[in-house]
Amino acid sequence: MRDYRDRLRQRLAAEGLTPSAHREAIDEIADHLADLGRAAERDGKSAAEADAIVESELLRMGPLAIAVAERARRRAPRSNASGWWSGLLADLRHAIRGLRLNRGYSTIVILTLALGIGACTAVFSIVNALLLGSLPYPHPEQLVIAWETDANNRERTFVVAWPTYEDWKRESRSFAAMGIWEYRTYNVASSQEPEQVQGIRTTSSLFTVLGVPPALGRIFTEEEETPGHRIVVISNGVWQRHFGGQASAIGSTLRLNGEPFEVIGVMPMGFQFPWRNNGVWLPFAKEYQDEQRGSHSFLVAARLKPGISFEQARADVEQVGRSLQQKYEENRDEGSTIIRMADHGLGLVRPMLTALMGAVALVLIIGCVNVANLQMGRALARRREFAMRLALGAGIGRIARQLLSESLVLAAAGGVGGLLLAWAATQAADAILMPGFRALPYRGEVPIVIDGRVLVFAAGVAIASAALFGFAPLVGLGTRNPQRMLRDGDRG
Amino acid sequence: MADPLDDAAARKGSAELLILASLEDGQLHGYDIAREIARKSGGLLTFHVASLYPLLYKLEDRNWISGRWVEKAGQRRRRYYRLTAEGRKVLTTQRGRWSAFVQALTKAAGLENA
Repeated sequence: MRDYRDRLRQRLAAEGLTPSAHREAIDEIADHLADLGRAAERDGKSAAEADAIVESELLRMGPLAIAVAERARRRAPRSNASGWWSGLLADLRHAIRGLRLNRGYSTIVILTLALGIGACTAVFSIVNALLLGSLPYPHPEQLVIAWETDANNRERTFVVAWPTYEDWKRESRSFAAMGIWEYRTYNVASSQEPEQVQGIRTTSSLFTVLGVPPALGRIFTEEEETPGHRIVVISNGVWQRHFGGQASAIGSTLRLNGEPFEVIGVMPMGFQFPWRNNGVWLPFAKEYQDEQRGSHSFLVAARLKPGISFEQARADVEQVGRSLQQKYEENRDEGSTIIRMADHGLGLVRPMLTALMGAVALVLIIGCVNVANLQMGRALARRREFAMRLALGAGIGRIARQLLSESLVLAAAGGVGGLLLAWAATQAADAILMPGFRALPYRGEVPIVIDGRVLVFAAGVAIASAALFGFAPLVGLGTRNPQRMLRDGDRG
Repeated sequence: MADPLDDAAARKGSAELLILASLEDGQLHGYDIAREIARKSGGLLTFHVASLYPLLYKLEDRNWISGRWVEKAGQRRRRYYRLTAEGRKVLTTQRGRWSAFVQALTKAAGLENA
């Protein structure tokens, strides 16, 4: 009896099938062919004629090759979740090996990605520090700064007159607390070296607005906000410099502009209101000129009542502003408004950083497109490999996972490189950027660091990049005929 | 319901019906299935390897037939196919439809006078 296995293997291999992977199907069909030949000989045909009959069955083997491959794919163990993950791990190991073999290609891709991801991450770490950080006070979303404005333009803000502050407090319904302050500079002297520090005279209600208690001692009371009370609350820095951080500072005397003041409280370390180097807080002690409606000298902070939205509070205070226009000659051309405390001082920084972020994102996208091009070129060279895997019943999803694994490995390496670059860049930024740039009102000097959020961002950017360039070689693969790809792959 | 017997679907459906019917009386291997169909149709209907096995695999995938390797004393092991319970139901349904179709065709096309 003739054995048609070899001939069948050749014909199926010519159609792109790997015969060794389908031994049982080949056994089954070869037996069928042998039966045909035997039956022809039994019917009186010569061996050559019987062979010709079998040969005619071996024409047009394409559909059979596809059916055999598809059957093998359907019969492959159904992938469950853990199988999928272990498969992904195997793919990742395979990808690392493959990329090691292709060092030149891998290096170019990783460097391109590292530059893109590094630039994005570095700028994001600045955005993170300056724009996304929250104010260091409880419920910072409730904190606002109130302004007087041009009557017809709430964007044109200016500092506040005391009587208007009083009117806001009396007539608005949206605020749990409101505090006012004025910047002053003081010469501070104790037994230690004298120094000049920034300070504010303010109302005790400002500390209620901020919700921060002193670390030591107490805040002055409303009753003490009158002339003659020579008391002061000092910053941690002044406490350290002038009293060596001793608790005995409370009750001690500190000379401000030559006058003796009793230290009654020390604010906690890191409390930097309104600016990073504010050293002393004194009771407001209203003077005659403060009471003039035309005397615009003060800043006002307020905390919204719980449940009151920013928009409701703004409508409220703007309504009060309109009523003041009617009541007072001095207020005829003035309105009132509030802005979020977190937004104050970000006027130029926000659009500048947003534009910079957009620019580096574009750099990353261009990098990804370049990498996608490289991937496409490599995929063309690997068409025969893909076609073979498709013919073996791999399925487009399986090949997609392999490509994604390679992209993930590249993106992870690029991400790590990017993080290193970003770290170097933030160190440089920390050194180069003027402290003033990093110092934001109400939250002090902001350190530019690679924190958890920046790490998550870098990982996200790396994964997004992998998705962006990783799937490019898949385009069109699903619609291609594996047999044709195998033939084209020879030429590719 | 869409007519199950139009165009390509009909040709494909008829091939499936032929295979299912060939297995009605017991299990057969691929060559015997093709031979049985050719014998019963007086040699009019024949299957080539390239068309028979894709169909067998498809029917097996649908669980209408099931194949298993059988080793008989003194013979090579071979793969035999048999009807599953589901395949038997499908065969009955398909027979009913084809029968109705053939009757309609006979009447409409005047096949009895041909």
